[in-house]
Amino acid sequence: MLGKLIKYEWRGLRFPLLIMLGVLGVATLLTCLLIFTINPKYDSVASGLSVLSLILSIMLYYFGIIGCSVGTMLIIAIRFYKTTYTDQGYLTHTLPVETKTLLAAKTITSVLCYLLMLLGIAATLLIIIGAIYTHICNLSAYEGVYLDQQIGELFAELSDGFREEYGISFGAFVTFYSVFMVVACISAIMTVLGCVSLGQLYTKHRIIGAIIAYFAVISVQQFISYLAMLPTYSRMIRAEAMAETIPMFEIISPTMIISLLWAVAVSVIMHIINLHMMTKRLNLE
Amino acid sequence: MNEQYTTAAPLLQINDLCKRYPNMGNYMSVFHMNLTIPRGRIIGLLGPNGCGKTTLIKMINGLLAPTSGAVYINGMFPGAESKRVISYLPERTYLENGMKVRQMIDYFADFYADFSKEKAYSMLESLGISPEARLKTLSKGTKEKVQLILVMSREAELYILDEPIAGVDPAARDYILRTIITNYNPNSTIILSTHLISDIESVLDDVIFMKNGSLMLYTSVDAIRSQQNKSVDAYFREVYAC
Repeated sequence: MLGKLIKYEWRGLRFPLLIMLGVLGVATLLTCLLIFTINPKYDSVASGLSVLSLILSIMLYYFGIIGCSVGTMLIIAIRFYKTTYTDQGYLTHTLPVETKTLLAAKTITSVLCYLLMLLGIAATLLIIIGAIYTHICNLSAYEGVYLDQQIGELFAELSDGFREEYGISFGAFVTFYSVFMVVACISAIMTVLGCVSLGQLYTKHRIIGAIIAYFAVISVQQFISYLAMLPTYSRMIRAEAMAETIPMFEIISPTMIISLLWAVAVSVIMHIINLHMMTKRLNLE
Repeated sequence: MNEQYTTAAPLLQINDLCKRYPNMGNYMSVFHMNLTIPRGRIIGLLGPNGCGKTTLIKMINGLLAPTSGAVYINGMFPGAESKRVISYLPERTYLENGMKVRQMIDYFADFYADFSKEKAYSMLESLGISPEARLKTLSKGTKEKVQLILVMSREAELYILDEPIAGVDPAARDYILRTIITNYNPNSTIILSTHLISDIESVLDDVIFMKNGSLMLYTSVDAIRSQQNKSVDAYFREVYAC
């Protein structure tokens, strides 16, 4: 049944997600076009316009990715709300499946959707960097043919110097950071879904209730994140006082590990809230 | 009672069921209700607005948690197993507007092992509804017909129909009632909640009258006719006269 539920959840989410990815694609394309209007020679006449184009393109791309990321989250929240707590909930909750299976299907599909959006953002970021690299940084060659070779050299430099500088190999850092991103993504989705469920406690203003619950939960999370930064600050202050050179990863690793554990804890708490609300506190109007 | 299926268990048993709404001034929508429903009956669940019919139906379907008491379907609490044997038509339209009628049929066939696609397509044809029509293009009445077709195309043990004929025209009402009778099998029970008593009276075996969240009367239609010398509709008007 889980597979079937995921199939129908995906059908419900794929079209709005495609629209969001389309918007992201258009924002990236426009950003690239703006980047290519920048005059690489920076002569006196065009330099002002070039700087303006650069700022505009960065702003356009920044708002593009923020909009698409928030938009995807909204799409996921609206779909969850509609299929779980409005009239469509009558169909959802009378399917012959356990509530935990229903919730698992919705969570897995939502996380996959959000990860796809993040992958889309990562891909467009590479495209933008590529555009900047070919057009501005690579003035001497000014041709794409050397790009592969230069990127290869860049990665080789990163691998060699990374461990020395940061105290961890580049591969290990990328792996750790990827795991961190996936867990953070799951936690973000679980928070949104959990807050939609918490909003159902305000029977007369369910949507406003969900928004209030979200801001309350995010405020608590921000406070915990601030606490998680304390070990990093203390290590930095200690290193500066003792004039030590501590590798960067050693300084930030406690914060990252605390954040990772916190994200896991948030996911578990929100899952429990969702299950409780969908079983013991379900009250479809 | 355990959660094992037993044929000896009544199809539906309600024990001292209560539902209180704390957000509505502790309003008791269902109050200490006891009821046992056997197999093979067509039962009208009747009562004035706000008497607790829909709340009771929601609790039977597991859409609302009781404040106290219990509901058993085939001896099981409402859950995945009980939902396999109940075919429920809510008073709301629960169809996803973006889907086509054919996709909804596939959806039901995917989730309910007792769903008959042939029966669904045959009923659609009789009512002149295209399977390729998108639900958002259909009128409210047609959506209700589609919903009823989906619910009645199952071979369920218990059908719970909440206001199945309220939103459709009189001609369609006759068809729907015929559909209910034709698709009814002797081992199933149908619970029909409606205000249009005169329209459904001819198909009912038993009636349940509810008042202020409590069971007021549970008897056969024949008993009302013979003892009261009245139709169910006339008796209802007398009992609930304002």
